[in-house]
Order: sequence, then C-alpha cells, then structure tokens
Amino acid sequence: MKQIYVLSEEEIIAGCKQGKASSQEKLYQLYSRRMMAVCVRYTSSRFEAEDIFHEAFVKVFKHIATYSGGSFEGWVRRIFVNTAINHYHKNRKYQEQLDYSTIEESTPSAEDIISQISGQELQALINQMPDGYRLVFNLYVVEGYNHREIAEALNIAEGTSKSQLAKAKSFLKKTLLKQQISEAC
Amino acid sequence: MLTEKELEEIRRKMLELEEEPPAGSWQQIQAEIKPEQHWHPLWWLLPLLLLLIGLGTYQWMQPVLEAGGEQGKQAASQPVPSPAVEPEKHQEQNEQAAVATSPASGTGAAQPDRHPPERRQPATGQQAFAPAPDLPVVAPAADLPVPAFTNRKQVPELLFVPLLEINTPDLTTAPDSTDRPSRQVIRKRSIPVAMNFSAGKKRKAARAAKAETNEGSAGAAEPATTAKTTAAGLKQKKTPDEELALGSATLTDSAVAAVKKSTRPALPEKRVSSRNEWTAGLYFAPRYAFRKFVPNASDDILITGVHSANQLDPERMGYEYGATYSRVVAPGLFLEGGISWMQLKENVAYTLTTGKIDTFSVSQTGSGQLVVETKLQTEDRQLISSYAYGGLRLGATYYFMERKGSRLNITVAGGANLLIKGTTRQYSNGEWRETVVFPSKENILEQSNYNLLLGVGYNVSLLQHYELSLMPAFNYFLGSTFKEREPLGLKPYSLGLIIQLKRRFNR
Repeated sequence: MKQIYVLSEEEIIAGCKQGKASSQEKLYQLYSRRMMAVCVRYTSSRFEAEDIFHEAFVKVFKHIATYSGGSFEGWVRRIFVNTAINHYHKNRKYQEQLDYSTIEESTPSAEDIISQISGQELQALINQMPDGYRLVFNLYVVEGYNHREIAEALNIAEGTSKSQLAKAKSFLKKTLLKQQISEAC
Repeated sequence: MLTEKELEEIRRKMLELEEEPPAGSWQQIQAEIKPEQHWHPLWWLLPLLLLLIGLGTYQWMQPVLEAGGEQGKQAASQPVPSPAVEPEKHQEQNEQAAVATSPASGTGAAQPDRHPPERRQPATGQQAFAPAPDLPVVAPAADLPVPAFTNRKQVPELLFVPLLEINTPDLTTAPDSTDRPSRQVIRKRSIPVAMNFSAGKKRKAARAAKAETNEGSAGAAEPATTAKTTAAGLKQKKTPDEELALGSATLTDSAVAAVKKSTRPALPEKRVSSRNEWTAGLYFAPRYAFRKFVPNASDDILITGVHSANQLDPERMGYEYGATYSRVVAPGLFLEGGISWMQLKENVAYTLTTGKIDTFSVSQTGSGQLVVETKLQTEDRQLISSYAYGGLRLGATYYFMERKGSRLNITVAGGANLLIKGTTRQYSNGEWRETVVFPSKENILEQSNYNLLLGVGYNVSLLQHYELSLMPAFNYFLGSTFKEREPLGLKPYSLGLIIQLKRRFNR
C-alpha cells in the first residue's frame, strides 16, 4: 500500500529556506487561498488583489530566511497586509475622508444579520466601504492592530484611525441593515 | 455601532474566508523567485582572458613564420658570386644533382633534373637506412663532371633552387647502396643562391640558408659516424669565399638597414611602425569623474532637489593604473588590450519625499468651502562613496604624424569594469545611518559596468626602445551607479590624462 508522507509546516519552511522548489510549491498550496482572501479584503478590485498577492508571495519566498519563529501564518499574513498597505499608499488619493465629526448613532442590533450571512457576503459588504474605512476596519477588526499601530502603518494620527474605524463600523452596520431589509422584502 | 460581539463574529468569518488564487500565479511566482544564475567573476572574465591568451600565442608563433620571410628577403638581396667562380659551390650543387638522379642509373652523371624534389624523395627517403660506419667513404663529388655555366641563363633552374634540400639524414646508405657506389653519403644541404625567384622560393631559400648556417655551427654535435664521413669535406668546403657568401645570407636586420642607409641618399627620417612591432606598457591616469543624474524612482518617490550637482568637486577625483599590450595589425594601427585598476569617488546629496503627509491644515474659505493644505515629509540623503574597479579593455590605437622621435595617436577602446570593492556611507538628514559595502553577496556583479574610451595622445621616444605617451582621454561608463538601491542613478563619465611608458618590441 502506497504511503503518502505529508510534510509538516516546519519541514516545508526548512525546505523553502534551502530553496527547494517542491517545498516552495507546497507552501504556496498551503497558504495561497487564505492569503488571496486577505488581498481581496484590502482592495476594491480583483486585479489589485492579484497584484498584491503576487508581490507579497514573492516577498515571502525571498525573505523566508528572516523568519525566526512564532506563528508562521501570522508572519506570512503580516507580509501580505504590509504589502496591501504599501499598495494603498501608492494609489491613495488625498481627497480622502478628512471629516472628524464624531458619529454616534443608535441603530438596531446587527448581530442576527451577521450570523445569518456568509463570509463571502460579508466580504462583499466590507468591500463596498471607501478605501480608507476599509483599510482601518480590516486592520483593527480582522488583523487586531491597535490604533497606534494603524497610525504608524498608515502615517496618520491615532485620532484619524479612530474616526475612520467609527465611520467604517457605522457604514457597515447601515449596509447590513439595508441587506436585512432587502432580504425581508 | 457594531458591538464587540458583532465585530468578533465578523473577524471570525473573515479569517475563515478563502479565495481562489489567480490561475497560473504559481508559475509566475516560481519564475520570479528562481535563483538567478550569476556568473562567477572568473567566468565573466574568461572570454577576455582567452582573447588575450590567443593574442599572446599568436605573438609567439608569428616570429617563427616571419623570420624566414625576412631573412629570405635579405638573402635574395645579397650579392652572390657567380657560380662560375665558385668551384666549391658547384661541387655541392653537383653533389645534390647527382643525388637527385635515379639511383638505378648508377652512372653518377650529373643530369639536370627538372622534376620537383618532392617527387624524388621517396626514392631516397624510403631506403632502409641504417648506420654503417664501416662503409668506405666515397670519393668526393668533385670528381664528377660539372657543367661550367658561365651565363646565368644557361644554368638549369633546379641547380639554383635552394629547395634541393632532401629530407634524408646524414647517414650512410644501407646495403643496397652497393648498387650505387658513387653516392653513398647523402647530405642535407642547401645553398643560398640569389636568383630571381618567386616570393615563395625566396622564403624557402632563406630558410635553407639558415639551415645551412645552423648546420655549420652544429656540426660538432653530429654523430661520430657522420663526422667521420663528412668532416674532411666540410673543412675543405668552408673556403673564405663561401664563408663570406654564407655569412652574408644571415645578416641581421640592422646590418641590412645600415647597408641600405649608407647606399641611399639621405631622406627626411620618418619612423614607420614595423609590421612585427608590439608594445607592452604601464600607465597611470588621474581621472576626474563627472556624472549625469538618471531618475530611477518608483512612482511613490519624488526627488525634490539635488544639492551636489556642482560638477567641480575635488571629492570626485580618482585615478587609474594598469598595463597594456598592443600589437600592430596594419601599418600604424595597433590592436590593444589591457587590464586596469581604477579608484573613483562620489558624493551625492539630494532631498526626496515619499508622498507621506507630515502636517496638514484645514481652512475654510469665505464661501464655506474647506481647503486642505498638506506638507509632505522630506528626507535629505547624502551618499559618500568610493569604488575600486578591476577592468579589462580592448581597443585600437592608430599612430599618425610619425617622426623620428615622436608620433601622435588616437585610441578607441571599450571594456568592462568589475567592481572589486566599494563602500557607500549613507546619511539621512545629516545623521549617519549605515555603510553599504559592495558588491553584495547576492549579486557579485552589482555596479559592474562597461565603458568606452576615446583619447588622442602624444608619444615621444625615450632611450632606444621606450616611448612615453601622454594621452588625454574621455571615458564614458555604460551603466548606472546606485541603480538598485537609490531612487536615482548616476551615469559617470570621466576625463583623465593617461601617462604611459611603453616598451617597443620588434620580432
């Protein structure tokens, strides 16, 4: 009976550090789908996401020798996120949201809606956000950055990060409610 | 607002999400991460080294071929006494003519033979020769009838063709020589005779004359058996006249030149490069590096100012020294190759911005419109570099306006510079950040480049064989410094004065 030996993540990483093509391909197969989702989350078009995906994966392979421990997926994800941030810097427009008015709204709970819709649908709703909202929202909510880290990464003030997040949340909640209403109808 | 619970739910769903990667992306990534094939510097230099070796080999082989030609010309130009007044020479010619006749005839009569000697060679050369020291020495060929040619036109051509040398050793013939008692000793002899030969025959004649001379000097080393049979004859043959005739055929170039000089009317002296001339030289060249800025930045970096655009900065003074080899390929035209070591310096300061906003201000116009003014973050960078290059250069030098003690030259050359060692000290906003050492291990050919050289020089003779050359030269580098590491590139070009001491050789 033919036995299939599955390489562990450590073995794949070690092979990649030695430049083995087979290990590199396994690593790609292991993370490509998850990382493509990261790229899609940070961009408004599939083309942009593919650009970031390619650039970030090349960085992963070229700098894998610098990986020294910890969560490898976290390390890879950080490279993808940073690449997406750089991409955002290259393409950002300065007439972005500079409105610092605080937003306090009382709206019905969206918890039920969130639990009912799929990840793909949620992703589609997030992608409807303006670029600045989406970036801060993803970094804060999904990646777990705090406002100081976001401010450093995006070269903005912490206050800006907070306000962008607030507006992003508000935007998403409104969108979710609209989604709920349209589904009810 | 979304609650923390809702956000956590969103986070969970987002992290679980997967997307299909673009088709064919792995192939594209694989192609990009494939390790580049970097040539080892030695492999990189190999073609040029082979070329230099080839030139050197050609140089060493050439004298062997051309010496015969030169001496042939000399031999052909030397006055040679008439055959009629040189009985000894006729004796040798007769001897060879006798050898040239068919062995089967056994007559020993000197019949003029118009067959090429090569055809006859098997008749003698294929004999089963063996040392036979006991065989009696035959009578000298002087006994044989010799045709008395008083007019050169009457002389059969073959007698005066020095190509009569027969490639048989100085050996006594084998037992079958009993059939041919008249010729048992066959000597490889040739006679330097001046005739109106074709160029090829002249060369062969000279070669034969040279062989004759060598044979005379090496006679003592010949085997005892041969010495016994030929010593007496040789001694008799070396009459003063013959010595003079043979000696005249081996005059040196300088002697011929002296004779010619003494017989020709004095002309304005003009030195012309010999067709065999080659030179080897050492040079030193102070060089000042100018440069041209080349934008190399991606779209997100903007260079707002270059502060060291001044072209006259003593910091950029460098030098070069090296060795050259050149060989004449046509009258006045030399093919030249060389190796060099070059040290250049650079000092660049500029200001850049990446488009990041440093500060901004929001103001409101009278109409209520908001106006946002931003100030971009900037960085002042300074790069102080020094580079040491090893170089190989090939080119051509043409000499003109040649006079006795001087000549001018124009040189065009191209070459490759391999960065041996370089350092760049990087300063940001006046503070030292890091020192980059070149070339990096990842790219050993980093910052290597090609260059073109154009120069016009003045050469003056020193002593007998030396020449001092002063050549202002312009050197343009094909390739950009900083091209990978900085948002700008530099294309340097240098002006220098090449001071070269050359030794001329003539083979």
